[in-house]
Amino acid sequence: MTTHQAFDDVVPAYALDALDRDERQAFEEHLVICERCQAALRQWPGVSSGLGLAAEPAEPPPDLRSRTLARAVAQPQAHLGRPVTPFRPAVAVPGPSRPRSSALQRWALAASVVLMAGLAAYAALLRIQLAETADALGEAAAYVAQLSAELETSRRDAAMLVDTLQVVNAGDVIRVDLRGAGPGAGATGRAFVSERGVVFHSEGLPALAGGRTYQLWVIPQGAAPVSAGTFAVNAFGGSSLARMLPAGLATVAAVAVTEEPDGGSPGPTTTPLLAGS
Amino acid sequence: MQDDAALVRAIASGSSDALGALYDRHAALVFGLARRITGRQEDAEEVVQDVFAQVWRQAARYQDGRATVAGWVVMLARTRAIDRLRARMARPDLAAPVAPDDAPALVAREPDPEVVTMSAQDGHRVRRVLAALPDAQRSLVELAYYGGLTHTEIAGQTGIPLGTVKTRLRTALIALREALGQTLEAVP
Repeated sequence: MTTHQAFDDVVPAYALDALDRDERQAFEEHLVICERCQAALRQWPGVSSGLGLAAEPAEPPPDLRSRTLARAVAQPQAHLGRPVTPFRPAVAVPGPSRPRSSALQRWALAASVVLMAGLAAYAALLRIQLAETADALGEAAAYVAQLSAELETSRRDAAMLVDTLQVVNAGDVIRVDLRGAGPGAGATGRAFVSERGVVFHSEGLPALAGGRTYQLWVIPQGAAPVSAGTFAVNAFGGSSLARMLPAGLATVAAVAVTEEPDGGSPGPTTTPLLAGS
Repeated sequence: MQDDAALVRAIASGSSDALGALYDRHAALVFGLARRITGRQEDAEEVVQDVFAQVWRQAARYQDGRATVAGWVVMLARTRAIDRLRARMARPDLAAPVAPDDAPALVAREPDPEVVTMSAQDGHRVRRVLAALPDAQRSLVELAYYGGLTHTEIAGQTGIPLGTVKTRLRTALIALREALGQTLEAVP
């Protein structure tokens, strides 16, 4: 078991996005369960903005002002609590175009922020994410080839977003603790569910054979299970997931994880390995 | 004269004049940082547009007291600039199209000297703190922050062993934070 010192040591570099990919993934998965690291991370944005302020300011060309303002004010503004339509992923179109935020980035952003901000900020995040989703639908198509860079961006955005989130009353978010059964007997999980979405993380699920994946389900009262996406476990048996849910679902009564073929199934086909209500 | 936070609130209410005023205060900061990171005028101009578009879209989410507006804007700028830098390294053939210019020109205004000076003063302080770091440490901070490099990339570029890079960067960042904590408004 890694000592915590190793994680303490990488917090500053993580805040500056200087970690290598595998270091970063291991740290982010640790961050889900570590409030000490979440708190430590909040000590660093001042350094990041300080370093930014240390660059020499430079006057941009005079015509940039009107171009910038024109483009900016043409875009919709996000407002907390604005009602939105159910999400559909933006179509990704490869080819030369200005790099834009993609649908996947929004999800990665949701996952990243929840990893760092915890339950109270999560409720605010869901409201914000849905407002942002409506923006994304109006923007140009995503740039598929830049996906990896965009995921890194979303993580940096998340670090910034944590600092600008206000802790709000999380009245409509419920926590569901999941227990393992069968092949998942050693596993535990936790889900935070609201009418807008679900965030889930787990530890101890076994790695799966090729061609199989885990799938998360939310079960509304009196209705069939609704898929909340598929996920894999990392080398330490942990995993995390954040998904928006379709609007209009009845109150979620239970959350479960099953093993499915790669790509997921329309409905659960195996007995849940992890479940809670 | 409105302070930055008041301007952001006005922007959140849809005031394009307030966005123009914020541009007048902070565009030079964004442009300078973006040009330093990307090394290209055209990319820096795109970053300026990206940042102020994002400020316009997300002004409602800015929470007074959690970060200064200048700090927020600077962080947006760095993020966007690193994006462009990495995208260009991956796709050198990528040419960002010029943004359409289809809105009436807004009247240019003089930046408020007090507010501009505040950012400039903070910048001076940080530069002094950076200059006080040993060269070996400062160069790593600059490679990580302005160059957007990771541990391994820094090791590859400098020839310094990976373990040394990690330790030295961490030491430098902690020293920086200690020094900055005494000079800049703290981010809670």
